[in-house]
Amino acid sequence: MAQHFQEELLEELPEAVALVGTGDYHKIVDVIQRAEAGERVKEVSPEPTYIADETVPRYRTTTAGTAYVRIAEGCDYGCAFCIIPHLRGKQRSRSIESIVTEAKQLADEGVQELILISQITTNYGLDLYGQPMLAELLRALGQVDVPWIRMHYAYPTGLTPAVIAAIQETKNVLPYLDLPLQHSHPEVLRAMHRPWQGHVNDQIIETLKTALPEAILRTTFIVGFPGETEDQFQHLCDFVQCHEFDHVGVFTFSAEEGTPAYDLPHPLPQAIMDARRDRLMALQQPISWRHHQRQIGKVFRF
Amino acid sequence: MIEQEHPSSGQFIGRSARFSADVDGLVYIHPHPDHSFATSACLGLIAAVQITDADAYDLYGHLVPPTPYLNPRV
Repeated sequence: MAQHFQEELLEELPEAVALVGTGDYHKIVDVIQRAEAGERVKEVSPEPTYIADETVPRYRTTTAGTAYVRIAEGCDYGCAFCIIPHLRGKQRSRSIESIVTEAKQLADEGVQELILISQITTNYGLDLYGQPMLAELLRALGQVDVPWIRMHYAYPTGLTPAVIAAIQETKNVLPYLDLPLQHSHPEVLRAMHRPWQGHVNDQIIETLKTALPEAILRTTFIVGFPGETEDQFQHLCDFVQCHEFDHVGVFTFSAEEGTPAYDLPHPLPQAIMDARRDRLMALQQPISWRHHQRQIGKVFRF
Repeated sequence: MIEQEHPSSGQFIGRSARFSADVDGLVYIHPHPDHSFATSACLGLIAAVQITDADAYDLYGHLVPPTPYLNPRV
């Protein structure tokens, strides 16, 4: 909000004493001191570049055994529906050493599960090292005494043989893949400006399942993108039915001001978007149920 | 991963490796039927659970004695 409406917010909220951008929260002490001294502060970097590292104190709000670890911030892609690049800036990754140091600190505090997050985790390191370094990061984290390491937002095209091998061979890395596919139809993916566009196809998913047969596959889809036809939506339904993901989240398209998709022609009525979301979720429910039924009788360590 | 405890009933709520925090389902865990292992689960730690029931979102089970041969990745 502060980043998006940096010019308007203080005017619209006369009771607000300070406005701090998404890339400026490390300046909070200075902001408070200035506000207490009577200044009405606006501290918003036009292009956020900051990312916290292992030296920044943090107060965890997750349950005791779990900690999120941000390995990179920002995104270099320009997906038509997404406001993140505008709000969070370009991708900047932390070094492997910084992440491992924080992971060890968290392990010493008793954390059992690290959840690696960024906008595109498979692009981790590209800005810092000149090439994606997720495989190297996973192997380095394999040396940390934490039983579960999980990552979110793995783009299918970034799950290279090196990354898959690192998942297979690093004992504490969970074979849990959260793939933000968004859609299956090539024309919708093209309209969404997705980085791989028509390449999300049956072969990529089958390749992943062959390489990581234990993998839990989670994905998210957007239904009702402007111009999405019934045939294109049915393509998505067939895709979900075919691949039987473990977990699926479905969202209706939301037009975000400032994104390329905001004023695209042929927007769908909310009622149609809601109906498509409900149809896709109803399609997925028995699939998830069958996956869960297969767990009955097994003994797991939770 | 044990995340919540109901002290009087001995029930726990946790997550398996299948479930990520905040976005996936939960595992509802009852004490072992003979109650002898109820104290083996601690908040924030990983415990051994046998799955006895499931629905589209969540799993249900009870605590069992930990064994050294269980694969923690599944």
